[in-house]
Amino acid sequence: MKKNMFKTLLIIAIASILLPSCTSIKEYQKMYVNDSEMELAARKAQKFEQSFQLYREGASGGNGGKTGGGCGCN
Amino acid sequence: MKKISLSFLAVLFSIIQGFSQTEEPTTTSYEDRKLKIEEVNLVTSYYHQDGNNSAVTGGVGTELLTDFSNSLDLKLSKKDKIGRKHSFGFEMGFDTYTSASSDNIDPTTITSQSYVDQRYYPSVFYSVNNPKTGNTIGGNLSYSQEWDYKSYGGGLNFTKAFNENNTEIAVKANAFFDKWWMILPDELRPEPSDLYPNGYPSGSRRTFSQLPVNPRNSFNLSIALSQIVNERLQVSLIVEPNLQKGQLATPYQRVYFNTTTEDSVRVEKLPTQRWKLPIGVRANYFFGDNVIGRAFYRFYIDEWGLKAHTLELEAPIKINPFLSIAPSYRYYRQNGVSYFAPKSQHKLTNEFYTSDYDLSKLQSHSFGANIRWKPLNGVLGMKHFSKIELRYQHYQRSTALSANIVSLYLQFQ
Repeated sequence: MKKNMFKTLLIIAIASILLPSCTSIKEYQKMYVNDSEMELAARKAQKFEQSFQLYREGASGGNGGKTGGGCGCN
Repeated sequence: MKKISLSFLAVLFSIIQGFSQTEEPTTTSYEDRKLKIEEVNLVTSYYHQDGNNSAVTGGVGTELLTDFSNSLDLKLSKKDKIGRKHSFGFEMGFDTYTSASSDNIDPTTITSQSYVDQRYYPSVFYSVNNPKTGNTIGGNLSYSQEWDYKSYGGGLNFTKAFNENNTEIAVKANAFFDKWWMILPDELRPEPSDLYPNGYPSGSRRTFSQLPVNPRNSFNLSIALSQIVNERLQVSLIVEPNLQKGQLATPYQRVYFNTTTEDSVRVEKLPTQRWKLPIGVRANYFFGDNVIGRAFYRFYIDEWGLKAHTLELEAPIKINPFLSIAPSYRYYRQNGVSYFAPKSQHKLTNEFYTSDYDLSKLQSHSFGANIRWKPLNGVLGMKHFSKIELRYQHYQRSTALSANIVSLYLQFQ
């Protein structure tokens, strides 16, 4: 019960910090967010790393990696 | 292996040569609409793992495996009369691996055919982007082939950017229709019968066509919302439900039961359906002028009762505008499925059973670094050789499996 309450409070706290700050950023203000290291995706160099994680662990998906096709049964 | 490496080098040099022959674009609008190579990416990687819980031998035995993976993708684009951008892509992937555990499908041979295998996976995509509306619509087709496994895939995607490109919603739907040739462990192959007068096929080149084939289909939906929060922070949320149906158990993985009768070993048996629900959150923040924080968290739950948490942290440090080093750490934890038990602990009355430690209760830690070099005038002065990344990760699982992976990524623009 306490754990759930903590999670709810944490989500509310994060949302209350992030949502009011969602102002519209102009193109000329995007110097930092357009940096190649800021890409909102896994790195291309992680491609095969994500594949072996998919095979060696039970969970998959949600990270832009492979979700189907191919066996991966070794 | 040498032949493969040489082929890839040949492809690589022909790409560089192709770029060097590209004429300088003129400024007329007609020329601007010509189809051009936008990007070529080559990723190559070497993976090595070792452990002692092979599922092929019932949860005990070597898990030694090496995998040499390569992929080459080519992206072309052109603009039409009304300013829409049409993108065409082609990707060719090739993996070759050696697996000591697969070799034990048939332990009577010294080195069986299953010791080494290759996987080919070509794919194509097309998309059209309208910068006026912020809409992108596309589709893709894919194919994958291994010795005993084939997969045909296809998908559609739609992306909408709005709020001055500060917000983006992307929806993707993919389906994979797979076929799996049922190779069984040597001692569990049925005796000769009317169906198999010479005995159950081993899966060798000569008998392969006689093997029964089972389907495995996957349906995947991905919904992603990305938001630029402020000048230094951007976040995304990905929900990616997935349904797998068909042959989900691996036919050559053995399970030993807690009995001494003749029936003490069988092949793995798992349900034929698995709903999966991963939910991922990414957040990237630019601290000061040289340090970036990249974070990813995923919660996962599925129909087999598996729950998992994944946390990835990475901190790229910009040594200068062209060079960055990014140390990284990843933590993973899963509770395991109830169908799992170690060797000789399953009861014959169990409906489903596996001794595959990939489905057991476990946690893993991995750490490493990524070096990215993107010089202004191209790598080694080659104008179109735009970027090179070298990455290393060490992986340690609580079940005593450890792995190392080295990846090299080259980009040409």
